Amino acid sequence: MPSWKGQSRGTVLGYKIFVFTLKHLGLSFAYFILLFVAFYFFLFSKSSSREIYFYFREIHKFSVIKSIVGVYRNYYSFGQVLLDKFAILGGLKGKFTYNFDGEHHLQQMANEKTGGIIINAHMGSFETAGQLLERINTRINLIVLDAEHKQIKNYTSDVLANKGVNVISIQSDFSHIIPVSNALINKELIAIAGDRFINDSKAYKVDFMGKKALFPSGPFYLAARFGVPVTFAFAMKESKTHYHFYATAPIYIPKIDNKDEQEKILLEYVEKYVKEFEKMVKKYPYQWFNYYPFWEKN
Amino acid sequence: METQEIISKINNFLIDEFELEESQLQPAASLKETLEIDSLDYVDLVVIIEKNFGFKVKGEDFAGIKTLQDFYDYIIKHAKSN
Repeated sequence: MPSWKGQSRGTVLGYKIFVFTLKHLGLSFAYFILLFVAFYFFLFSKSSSREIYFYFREIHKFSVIKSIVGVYRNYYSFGQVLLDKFAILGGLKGKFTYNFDGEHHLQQMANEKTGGIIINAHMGSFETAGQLLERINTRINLIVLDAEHKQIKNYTSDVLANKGVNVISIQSDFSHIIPVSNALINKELIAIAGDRFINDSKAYKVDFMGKKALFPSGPFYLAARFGVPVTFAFAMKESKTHYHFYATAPIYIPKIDNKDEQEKILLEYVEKYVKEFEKMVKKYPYQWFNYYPFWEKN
Repeated sequence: METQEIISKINNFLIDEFELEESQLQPAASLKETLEIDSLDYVDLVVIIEKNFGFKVKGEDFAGIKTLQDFYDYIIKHAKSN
């Protein structure tokens, strides 16, 4: 089963068009332009469309027509959350409303200075939850794949840095482990996606939506090694300007000296995460932005 | 700490913590391919280095470490200047 190959969707030009449109013409107009941009991806991004179609048709068991429409809706939703992210980072956050399930869990981690790991997914827009992160008033380290185009990353990193968010890129030589470890030693919060991994990193095969798929064990081992709590969190778009944030109660993962025993425990916690993730995928099927083969295929 | 003492200390924790055989610890051995140090082991390495040699590892330093000899050299350089 392939791991993430490293190309995020979109180009710098695309992002520039989004930012320009947002600044000068507003969010509604940007959504209108997005109708055509999403259609372009729907027509020409064959490999990613194939994977999204598989997800709707084989995993959700949607009809052929509903699956084809689902591919378009998925691209459109992805564009919307990107636009929202840039709108919020650009200072338009007042236009958005939020409701929070479990905010107090993050608040508790921040107040007690335990540090911790927030495991999210490529669903909805966790970065949009920056609104929440400002409310809990603590430094957060956002772990991202290095593949995102450097200029895009520089743009988002600069804006996020002003909001107390430190961006750490995942590297193929594992050197990202060091700033991540140091952040946890300093009892800071780490936010990382639990639904993607790079080559050579350890992953477990788990039942996800009825088929086997690989999930990384790294975030769970970090929590066990540094004795910090873990919460599973998702920020989902529910209407044009409304997001719903979910966070589960923090859990601690035991650290065991015996490697085999430790792996069994990690697998147990990966399965807990996958169960939460599955709930979200079922509730918000169009907001999981995965464009590569995720499941074992027959 | 003398060079030989540092190397013995490194070898000891690789044997104890990563269940490696002494015969595997060849200077030219690749950390990833030959010694099979995986992503989770890197987390342990960071903690063990800080505990045993008293310095904080920096990401950019660690990026160039491919073989066990590179790893020895890195620790020797930093442990001696600490």
